[in-house]
Amino acid sequence: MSFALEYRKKMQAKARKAQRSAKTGAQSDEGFAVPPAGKNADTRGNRRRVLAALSLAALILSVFNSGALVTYTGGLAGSPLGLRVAIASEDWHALMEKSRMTGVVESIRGAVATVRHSSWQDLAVLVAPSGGAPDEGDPGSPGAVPGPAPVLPAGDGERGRDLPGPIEVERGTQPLLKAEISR
Amino acid sequence: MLFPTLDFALFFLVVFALCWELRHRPETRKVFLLAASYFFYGYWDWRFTMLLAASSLINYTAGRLVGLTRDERQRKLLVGLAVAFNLAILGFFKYYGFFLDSLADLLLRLGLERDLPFMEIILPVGISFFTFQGISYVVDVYRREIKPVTAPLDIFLYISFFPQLVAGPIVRAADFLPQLREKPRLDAAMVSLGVVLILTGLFKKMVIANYLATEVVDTVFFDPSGYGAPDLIFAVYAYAVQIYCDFSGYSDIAIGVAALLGYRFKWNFNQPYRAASLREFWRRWHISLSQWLRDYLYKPLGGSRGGSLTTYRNLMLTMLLGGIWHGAAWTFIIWGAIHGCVLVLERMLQAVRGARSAVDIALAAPAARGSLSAAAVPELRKSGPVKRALAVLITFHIVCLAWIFFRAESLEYALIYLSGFGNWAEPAQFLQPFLVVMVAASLAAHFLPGDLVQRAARQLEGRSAVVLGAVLGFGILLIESVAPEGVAPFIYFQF
Repeated sequence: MSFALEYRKKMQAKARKAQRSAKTGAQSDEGFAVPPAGKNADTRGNRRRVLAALSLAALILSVFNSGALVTYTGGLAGSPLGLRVAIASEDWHALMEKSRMTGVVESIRGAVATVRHSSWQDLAVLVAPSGGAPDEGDPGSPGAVPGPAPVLPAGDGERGRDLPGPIEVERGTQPLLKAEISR
Repeated sequence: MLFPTLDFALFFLVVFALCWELRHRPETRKVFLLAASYFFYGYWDWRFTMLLAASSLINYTAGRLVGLTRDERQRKLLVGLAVAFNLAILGFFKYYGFFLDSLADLLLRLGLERDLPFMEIILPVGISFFTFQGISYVVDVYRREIKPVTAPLDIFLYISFFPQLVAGPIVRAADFLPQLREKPRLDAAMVSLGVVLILTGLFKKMVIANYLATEVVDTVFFDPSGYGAPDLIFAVYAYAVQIYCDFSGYSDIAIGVAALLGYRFKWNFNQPYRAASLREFWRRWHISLSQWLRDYLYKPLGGSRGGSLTTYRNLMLTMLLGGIWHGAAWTFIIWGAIHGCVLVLERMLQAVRGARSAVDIALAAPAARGSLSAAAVPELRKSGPVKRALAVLITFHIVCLAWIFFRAESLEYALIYLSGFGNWAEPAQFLQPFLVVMVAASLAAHFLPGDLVQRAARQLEGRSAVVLGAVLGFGILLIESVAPEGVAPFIYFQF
């Protein structure tokens, strides 16, 4: 019985609290990732700032990562306007390549590929270089051309399923997300 | 439309520019954001926008009727009907095939084969999330925690708001609806936090999650019988990092995008792998879901108000249903069951420790009796660093064990995976420096100060547009350069 009375009191207190906060518009800030905007927030100024920043970011990406534009616009080549856009982005990419702007991304990707294919022996050489030069034929040694990716075991043919490769989808598009309920 | 794509970048640029242009006309702004959200959702499949609209309409109507009705029995009936409608929609799209498969299996075992009406059902993206949001709105109105909304626009926007629509966080009406009534504002803190969250989210998803998925996890989980224990163990750790980075990365981007539009969401992750118990884990992992389950399932079942057995039952039911929410498969149910069992075990241990403490107090020296001084009662002392480290390690491995079932294609695969832990004869193929360091560093990052993102954002606050643009532009450039080719879908899109 006392439990029922306690529960009733609790529900009434909650209802009163909800009414109070609805009147004042007050909101607890607990758990929010972002603090509430101050009453004197310069919304107009910040909006301009963000738009300018987004534009600058777009410019940086189109200069240094112009290859991504070509990949994206390639998918638009179906229509006359899309074709013009695709050609324009290819010309832009050629210009950026000529100006060596795309070299930054290529260098980073090369460095990452080297690190990805490094072995523990390569790390040991880096840490203790007097331990001996690595075999040039070692596919993991720095400077060597990375070898082919590890051979993956064949799937069980009886199961009739194909080995899924890395998900390679054209940048700028989304993969098909329709999924069967197959489990 | 995936976040880390040029399509979304162009979409967001337009939405940002126009929605702030409309800030002096709040209703028009809301209509515009609603249209943008439906465009975002319809980009996958325009047919499901009708489902989204139907769900929003059901919840809006139910909220209004519950608000207008004074009779408690009728209110209860209305909210019950609304919840049933929501769950029926979710159940049909998500569990129809699973139900028929299981029924067909059962009939086959009983020698009663029948032709069942199998259908290929496409799972609408985000259905679990927006369904749960709708239910939370109606129940909160019923509990009188919020007033029912009279303008349908607000509810439609609340349920379909694009940053959180397809993979959460599950936003409460009490947190979001008041923001729709306020004048939208954008200050420097929101801008800088938004930018930092978007960058960290992109890094987590595009670099860490994608590398681990393509280089380790997908390969090993596809055919676990082909690998030895070292690779199987490493792949589980890699999956633990992958799913965290994938999901929390999406949440970070969603929160950051919402912040740039002037709306505040709550944190959805808080360094979950530093938890020293599963109870603590659920206060740090997918916080919006665990709070939803607590408030709309665990507490209505009775929570911990009944006796111990009732509490244990409620915990198990909540976690089992939490598992089912993720998907229509026995592996998800087992995942939920593992979490439920361990939570129950923790409660039992807590009860035993509590009883022991009470005995200690009773037997303590007279001077210490009546006080809860830690010096007088050893059990009340905070656990030392070694004990906590051990607890963190154990909790992490329990979570990883459950992840095996969560990730495995089927129960059979999960069992094959587990049986592989005895095979130490196979050499390790995936323990390469790049991957090992990635996993180790990602786990170690859980023990860094929790406010690093806020600290980084404070450095950007008030900086010029050039600095902000450079950080954003070069940040995305670096992420693009380091990330593997292609765009993988977010894991939680399948829920």
